[in-house]
Amino acid sequence: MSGFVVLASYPKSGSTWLRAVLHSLRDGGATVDINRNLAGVVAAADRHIFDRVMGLSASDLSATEIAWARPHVWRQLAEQDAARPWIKSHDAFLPPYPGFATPLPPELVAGVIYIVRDPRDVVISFAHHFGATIDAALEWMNNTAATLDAPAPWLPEQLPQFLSSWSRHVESWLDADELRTHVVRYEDMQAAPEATFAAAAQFLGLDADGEALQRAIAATRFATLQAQEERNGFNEREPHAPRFFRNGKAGAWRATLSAAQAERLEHRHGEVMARLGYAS
Amino acid sequence: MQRGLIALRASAVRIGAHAVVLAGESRRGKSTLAAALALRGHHVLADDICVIETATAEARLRPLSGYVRLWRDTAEALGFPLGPPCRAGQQKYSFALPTTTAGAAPLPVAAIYIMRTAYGETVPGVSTLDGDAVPQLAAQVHGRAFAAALCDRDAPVSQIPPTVPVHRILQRFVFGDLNDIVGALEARHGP
Repeated sequence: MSGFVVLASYPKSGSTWLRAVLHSLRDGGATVDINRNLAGVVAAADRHIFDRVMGLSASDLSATEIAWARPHVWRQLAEQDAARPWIKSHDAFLPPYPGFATPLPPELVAGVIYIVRDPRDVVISFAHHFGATIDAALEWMNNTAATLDAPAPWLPEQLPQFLSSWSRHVESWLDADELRTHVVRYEDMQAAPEATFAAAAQFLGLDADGEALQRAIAATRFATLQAQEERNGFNEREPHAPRFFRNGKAGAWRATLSAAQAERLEHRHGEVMARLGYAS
Repeated sequence: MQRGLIALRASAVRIGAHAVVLAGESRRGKSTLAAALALRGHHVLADDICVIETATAEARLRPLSGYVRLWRDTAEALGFPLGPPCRAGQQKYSFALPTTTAGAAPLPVAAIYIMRTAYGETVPGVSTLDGDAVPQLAAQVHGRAFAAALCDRDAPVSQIPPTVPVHRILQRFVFGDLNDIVGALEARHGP
């Protein structure tokens, strides 16, 4: 692929796990260190890449100035450097402000893997990750104006990322005709890892012979990643979250969400959930 | 470069008779550490960007200002009273310090510290730099993209005399490490 490959997802949908598997697969199924740069992926909202390419500090800029400049960063990188790292993005594929461009220019994107997870499980993971209540996380997922790492009393590690609501996020990527997109469901990563990761690898043009794939899956089991975080910490964990790799079980929402909470999500996102096979 | 000056993304503080340079990317705690040292009575010589003279045999820091810019959470934690923000819509504030160094004579550089974030098993504190200092320091040059386009990526920092020690500071995103690091710098460079 000649352009950038994007691993896109709504937060807490399993992109870290997929990155770990791809990283291991590239190394023939080797064990992974979660604190190393998994699969050489760079974050679309990495402020240090922005600062380096733009030659100024995003911390001195407003959110709109940053949003205006972000597509230019990737254009500059594409011009300056023949290397095309994979890009991890939580941004919706939407302009963050009217009249603005999407953060990643579509003409630079060779392909997208969009990782999606049942929003009823996402909401629980989201709440733990950001130290919020489930109801607050639910509000976030319903908010069409939601922005991750928005201006705050502190300097966030990443640049502001416009998420919109969970449904709009999903639709923004899946309905973008100008993108070549392969959808990976978190639940399939768990239930049918070989077939799911093999298909993702094939989409990316990676060799995934059976043995290497099995080794990669074994090396990146949830319990293994969780134990590694327990031992060494994880640099993507939010400061107020006790751990990043917390539960990971598909369908955990049945024992955690109240009927009213599940119903609120289903009512708001039912159409997109049905499209992805997440029955009410 | 042609003027014998290098601009680093760094803050600088006078400890004793020398300048201690605190370099690093955004969010690595340069200004926070400079402010914490200021609270201990050390003069802040530069914040965010510092200029080092390299035309002579010893590197000398050119004092630029006596202020620091801090995000609200840091300012409140360190007890700096908030005024108007640097820019509307941003929660970043500028604090003039009682000592001004603008226009003062350049000071010899005692050491350059590259500030990083400690993750996992890495132990926070002041320590020896891993690997070659030149590329790591080159990454801290202000306007590096332009410098790299014009010449060798490492050329700007090759002007810094090799006698200037380069170390690293590792800290977590908690204020718990701050006092330890302040203490370590004072122990190395004088109270």
